[in-house]
Amino acid sequence: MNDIQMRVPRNLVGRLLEQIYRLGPRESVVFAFASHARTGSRDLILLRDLAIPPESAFLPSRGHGARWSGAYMVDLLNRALEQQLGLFIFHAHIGAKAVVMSEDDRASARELLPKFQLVLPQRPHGSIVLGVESVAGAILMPDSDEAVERFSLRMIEEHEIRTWPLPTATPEEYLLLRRQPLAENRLLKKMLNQTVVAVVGLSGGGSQIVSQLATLGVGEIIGIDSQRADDSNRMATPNLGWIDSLFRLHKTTAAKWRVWVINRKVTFTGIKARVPERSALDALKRADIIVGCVNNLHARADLNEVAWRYCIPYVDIGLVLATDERAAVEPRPLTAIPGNLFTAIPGAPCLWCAEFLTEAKLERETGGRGRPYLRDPAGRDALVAPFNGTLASEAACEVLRLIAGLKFHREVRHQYDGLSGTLLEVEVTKRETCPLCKSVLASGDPIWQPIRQGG
Amino acid sequence: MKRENVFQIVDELAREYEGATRLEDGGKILVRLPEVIFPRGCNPISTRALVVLDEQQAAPQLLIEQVPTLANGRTPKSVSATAIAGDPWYSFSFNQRWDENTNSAVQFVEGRLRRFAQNE
Repeated sequence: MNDIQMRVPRNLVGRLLEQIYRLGPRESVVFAFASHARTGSRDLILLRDLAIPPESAFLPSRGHGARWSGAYMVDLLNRALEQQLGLFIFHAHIGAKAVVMSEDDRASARELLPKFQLVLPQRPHGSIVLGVESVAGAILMPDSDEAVERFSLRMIEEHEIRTWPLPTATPEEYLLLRRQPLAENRLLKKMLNQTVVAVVGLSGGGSQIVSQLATLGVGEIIGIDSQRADDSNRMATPNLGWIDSLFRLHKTTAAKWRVWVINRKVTFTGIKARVPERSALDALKRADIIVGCVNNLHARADLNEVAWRYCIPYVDIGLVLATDERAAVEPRPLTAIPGNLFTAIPGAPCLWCAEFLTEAKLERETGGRGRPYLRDPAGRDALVAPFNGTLASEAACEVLRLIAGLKFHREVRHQYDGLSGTLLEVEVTKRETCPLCKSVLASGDPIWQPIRQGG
Repeated sequence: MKRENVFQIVDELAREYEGATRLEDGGKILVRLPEVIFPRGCNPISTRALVVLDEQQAAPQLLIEQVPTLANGRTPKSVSATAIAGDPWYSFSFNQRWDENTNSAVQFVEGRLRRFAQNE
């Protein structure tokens, strides 16, 4: 059986923890609706929404545990059925460092989960208990009548990806990670080693990010690119040289070789495909973080969709060289070297919220075809390797920040100005009406329904 | 498209294409057709298709799972891939007259597929 990981998007983490750890006359209980997805290496359970029971839903209870009314339960099940989502019960054992299910918890899960499964067999259902940086519970997966108790919980927060249970480490190592997150530490190495980062596009920016990630000791790098190296790449990156170009090596092959030279403990998986081809989508689903270094908006829209659907943080970079479009002289004068760095955290603003993607912009783009860096009718190549390097290094920093948990206000987009060498912060806000955030976030693998006539 | 027309199209697709399934995703209704047949000479002869129904748009959109080679052996132009509901699909441009009030869903699907009868 695959590993199971439950993911909580940023918009739900705060509310869930606040409610669960609330002190009151009885155990706090929160219900959650979840979709799920199957990847090549693990099953994902993706929290879509929470239901905080009102006081009127509870029944008097003899012990500390909570009891709720049948009517409230039926209401929740109807909602789960309508949205085709699994139902999860969350509560906490406050102060428990290595939390376990109590006998009462197990008995309640044994009684309730098969009932949930009867209502909606296509989705997982479960009962989860949270402790201090630890999690336990029972999950009934679709097509299974035996509850699984081994799983991890990932909370995607503004400044980090927190995954419980944490890797085993000494108290000194935990303390060091908290106080000096970047200091050499066996715990940090383990966390990096357990991370899979997908890099989409292995040209100017992507090839440089791969080297940085190999240096960090990321466990697996998935490199996605369908192209072979040519002479033009030599101006965009130091990592595709004359020999790669001479032998017209696949960019994935060149990246694999470079990773091996830098760090033999890192696995590099090359996918010779374009997003959204099937092999690329399957590989992206496996990633913990996606770094997009693509040169068109259609590919960005696809990456954002995948990232939101499966709750994967998505770091996007890009660079162009702008020339004066109104100039009557040839060659046109260079006017700007704008670049972009945006980390889209599932549950926070997406590329559509930031208006980096709009329908009008997509329509203007010519079918997602590639383009040279220099926006000039002559289509000349340009010496952009160091500018790409700046953005690539920042993207690798973002990966490290997310894993190590460096506190940083992230709801900004970074606008790069290559002429002055500055990164300007641009505030972005979540749009309440954004269709991607509203409908696609944490929606997982879809469940196709037979069509009932007149329905 | 009008809401009632969207539901009528879903019903008609289910009637005409056996095994059609539906999904609501991103505020749109998606209908998956298990098999549509390409014009004579195309290879393969059939594929799965997806009809995207969006009330904000004037007409549905037809996407195919596999791009055929044309009768002359060439690959069709202006075809692009896109991810919808976690799966890759191919969209294509084709000038087709279709009106939601006067034309049927079958006319839409089969009419769009005529694009692959053109040898370019």
